[in-house]
Amino acid sequence: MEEKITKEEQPKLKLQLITSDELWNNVLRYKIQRRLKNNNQAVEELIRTALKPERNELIVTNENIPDDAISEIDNFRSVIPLVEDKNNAPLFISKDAKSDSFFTECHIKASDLVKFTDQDLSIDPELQEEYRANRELEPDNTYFLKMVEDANQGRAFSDIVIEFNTTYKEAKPLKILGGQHRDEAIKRALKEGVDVIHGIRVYFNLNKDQRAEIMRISNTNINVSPDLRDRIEEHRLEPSGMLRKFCYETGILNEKEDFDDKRRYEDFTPTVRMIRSFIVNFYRGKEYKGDIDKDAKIPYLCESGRDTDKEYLKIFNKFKKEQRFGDTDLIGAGKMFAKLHDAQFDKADKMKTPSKRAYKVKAYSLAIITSWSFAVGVLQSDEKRLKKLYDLPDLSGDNDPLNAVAMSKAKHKSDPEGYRGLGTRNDEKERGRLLHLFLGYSNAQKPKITDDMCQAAIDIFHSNDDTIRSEEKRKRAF
Amino acid sequence: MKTFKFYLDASNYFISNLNYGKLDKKEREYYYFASVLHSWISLESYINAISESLSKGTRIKEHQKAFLQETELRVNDDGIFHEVKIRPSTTKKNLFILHNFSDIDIKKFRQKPLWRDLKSFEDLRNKIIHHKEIEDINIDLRKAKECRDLVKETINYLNRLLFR
Repeated sequence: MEEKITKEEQPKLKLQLITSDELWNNVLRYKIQRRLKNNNQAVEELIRTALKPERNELIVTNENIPDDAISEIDNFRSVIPLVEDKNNAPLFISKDAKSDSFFTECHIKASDLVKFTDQDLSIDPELQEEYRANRELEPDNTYFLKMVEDANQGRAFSDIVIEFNTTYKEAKPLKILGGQHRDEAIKRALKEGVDVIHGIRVYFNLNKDQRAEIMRISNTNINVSPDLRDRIEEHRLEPSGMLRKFCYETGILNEKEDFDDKRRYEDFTPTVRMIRSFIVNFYRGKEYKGDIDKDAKIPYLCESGRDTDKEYLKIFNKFKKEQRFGDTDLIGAGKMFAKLHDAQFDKADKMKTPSKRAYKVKAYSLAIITSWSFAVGVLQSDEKRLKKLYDLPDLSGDNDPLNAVAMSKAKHKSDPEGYRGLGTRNDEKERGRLLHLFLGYSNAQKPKITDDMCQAAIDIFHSNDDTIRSEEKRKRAF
Repeated sequence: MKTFKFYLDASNYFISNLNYGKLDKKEREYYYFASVLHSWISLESYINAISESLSKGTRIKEHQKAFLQETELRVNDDGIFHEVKIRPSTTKKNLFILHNFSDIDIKKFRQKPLWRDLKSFEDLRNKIIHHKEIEDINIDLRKAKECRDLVKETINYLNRLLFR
């Protein structure tokens, strides 16, 4: 049977053409223009073109597609060798009403897909092309390794979400919005000689907001960190890159570096949530009225993973016109925080403890960064105490400024057995406790954070919190 | 460091995992009494620990702080304030804490079964400590378990209320 098919596919002489010189000259001209090898190829291609359905037969849709989208789709069909094209099948174009965007679901051979895909897409290619929107590949992830194993066995993947975009890195117009691990698995399988057909969903003519939204929905699964979603949202904000600029100015990020897509200990880079929370708390502290030492304030933690945090947006909008967070006090605080982190990182690195991995990045614990920036905000009106807090890295000598060991020992009577000390969680209690640690330190005579200070901070926070509750009860009674 | 958790574990130890069959009646009673007393010690230790913690607050008044630290300011015969050591009962401290550090209505709290049970446990504790010839105390396994469970419940109740 196999032999028979092979025989049938062998090209055979089927036609002797009698035609005018004029027509034949046109055929020859066509051959030269298209750089075809011989006359046979020219005739073959002309026949294929003639047999190809009309454009209106190539696109089927129930939607009213705008002209610019139509021309993108045409361009897509001419550039990308789809399985549908090879079989003269039409593309069905659908509309996603939520994002008001057009897409098609079609098929492509692995070798063609790999040729044209780009995993390093940008949410804002016009202004932020160099910043990658996708999360980092996780090559050691068990699920990814299983995916590669499946791909090597010929797994046909589907619904890889792609944007067709030729405005940057033109040679790679298929920008992966969702499914970079599948794309990578397909690449690896191709190296092993596995070249099967996969299903893709391709969007056309997306703007920045549509792109961010489709990326968000494409990445809504339990394995995608909210930090990645925050970064996507941050790239979408206008004017672009304000938070990054703030980080470059303060030294929180190195030039050209971007926020991390999830919290990690090795190769640490702060996440969007950390820095947004830093900024919000600085202003919450600065605007605070009352006696903070007698209060039980809870520093704010920005929301993560869904929409952009509303508190952060309020501050962002205030600075929008300037196109940067141009407050010298805030920038000063950011610089001091970067200094604190650097000192903590370097000094904890010299410690001989298995916990040093976590100690090195202790400053970026969400509870610490929020409470530190709140304390710094509130102490803007108390130069002496602010200076003391800023001087912590210098006053700590060879010790890590945050005294991670002392923090790990501090515990309240009500804490569960599994509690691992200050700065290891980020709930309200923890943030309230740490705020009192920094406030207490700024007012203390001692140069370093001590065990007693950590313990006292916990006790003060809970006592004040309870006292306030009791006072409110009495107020309600009268 | 021995905390209230240690004493609660000890209380538990004396009424669990023991081969009662091998013990005579008197020996069993030793265990029941030991369990009840450790339950009480656990409660007292917990109340003292949170009193000390709450006394560190920066918002409380001096007299509140003094009470939590088991002292009182009194005027002596020379008309001068001086600090006197006091020994308030555990149940009194419990009420003081609830009144000053929670949003609980003390009058309502005193009508709760938890408070009634605590008072009876205090009474039992006093009978054991302040022995009187006419009162013979008997504690069985059920009573010992009740006391342990009551202490657990009280500690959990206070934890929920104060340190949420």
